[in-house]
Amino acid sequence: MRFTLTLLAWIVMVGGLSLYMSGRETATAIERAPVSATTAVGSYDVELTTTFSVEQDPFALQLDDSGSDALTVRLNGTALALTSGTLSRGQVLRIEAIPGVVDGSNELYVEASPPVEEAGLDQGIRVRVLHDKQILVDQTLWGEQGALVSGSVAFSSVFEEEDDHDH
Amino acid sequence: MRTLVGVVLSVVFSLFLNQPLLAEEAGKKPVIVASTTQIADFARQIVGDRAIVKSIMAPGADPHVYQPTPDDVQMVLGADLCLENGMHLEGKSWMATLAKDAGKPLITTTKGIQPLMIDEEGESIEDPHAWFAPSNVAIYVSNIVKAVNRMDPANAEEYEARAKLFLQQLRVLDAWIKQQVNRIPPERRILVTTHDAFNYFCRTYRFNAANNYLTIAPVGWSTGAEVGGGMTPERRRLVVESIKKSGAPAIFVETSVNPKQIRQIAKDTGVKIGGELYSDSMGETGTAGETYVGMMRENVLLIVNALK
Repeated sequence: MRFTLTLLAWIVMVGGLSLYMSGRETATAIERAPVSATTAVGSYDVELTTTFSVEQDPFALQLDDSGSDALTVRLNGTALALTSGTLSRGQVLRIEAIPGVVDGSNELYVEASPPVEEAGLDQGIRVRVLHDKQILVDQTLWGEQGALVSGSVAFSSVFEEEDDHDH
Repeated sequence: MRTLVGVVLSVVFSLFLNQPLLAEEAGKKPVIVASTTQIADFARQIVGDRAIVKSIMAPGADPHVYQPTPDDVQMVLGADLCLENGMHLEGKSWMATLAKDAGKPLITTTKGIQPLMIDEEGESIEDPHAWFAPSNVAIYVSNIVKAVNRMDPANAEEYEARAKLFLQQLRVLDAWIKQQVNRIPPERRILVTTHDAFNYFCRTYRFNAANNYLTIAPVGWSTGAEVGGGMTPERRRLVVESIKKSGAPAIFVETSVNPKQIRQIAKDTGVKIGGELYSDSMGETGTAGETYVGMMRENVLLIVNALK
């Protein structure tokens, strides 16, 4: 009788554990529907101004012979094509009609490599986001001494009411 | 009572059932074997817990005169990837021999680094101590990332993400060293060490102007018997002369080299010993020098405090 009880307890324990494990795996495997985003209306531009001349980073990861980007701009995780990978101190780089701005919250990521010789200076990048030529965001990203200057700028798309109202 | 004991035993038994699964999972991890502690640290920064990284050399060991043991042979036999410094740091190419004999892939992590050439006994020799310039370590890191990506392509993105964080740390470390070294007046930037390990460091951070920004040391680039290695009476005489002429405030011993010669020189010249620098290997686990960044930080603080 006692042996049967012990066996029963063992089966309950192991069975319960197995059920829990398989249930957990199924729960993690549930696929979630992708979040769809609507493209925002209007034209968005980005302006970047640096306190330094952007230079190739000697500490960049080199996985092929193509060289690394000294300047990277990403909108909502997607890299924006730049007409020029270089940028001089004080010069304004304008990226017009950036693609990928969605209704609601957006995030612009900027990363640039200051010259290692200027490691003792505080370096920054002024980031301006414009909607239909009107300034939406004006923010400066500051870097630690010696490090790459990088950061994210969050902005919300401008809600535009439709004109065809019934009067 | 017996029922209770039975239940407890059942629980313990069911827990043990999971053990083989965990062990099997651990067995799946690739094994990387590096020749030196520095290279093992670079690899660890890249692979995290995705792979097991082992170092042939223990902290404080000297790669120039290292003799591999049967345990090292076993270690390399279990490796999926072997990493060496190259440029003859590993005396008589012991790491290359170990990997070749075991039939394991070997990566020379200094590939692509512009070597600093030193003239010794009429021959031009590549200085292998390239890790003493953090910008060179960026090349070590890129070479290791390429190798681990080939070994385990499924986790390539993760390896690259870790590498980028480490490279940022190297960039900041380089800037910090420049800041610290700047506290030493240029005329006092005289670095005398046991052996010629600090040439890249002197060249990058502007030490020993009178010696063409190269180390001043009684022992050559290797502590072994290679051309330009070991100590000669001529080298010793030149070092003593340099110390007297330059007025070096302190000289330094190294963790991986016998300090006897440099202590004798300190005695002969009346110069104090500035401390013990990490050179060809890093510190023991639990010490400040157990990582590359820690080793460089501690070396720099020691040098600055002794010379400023």
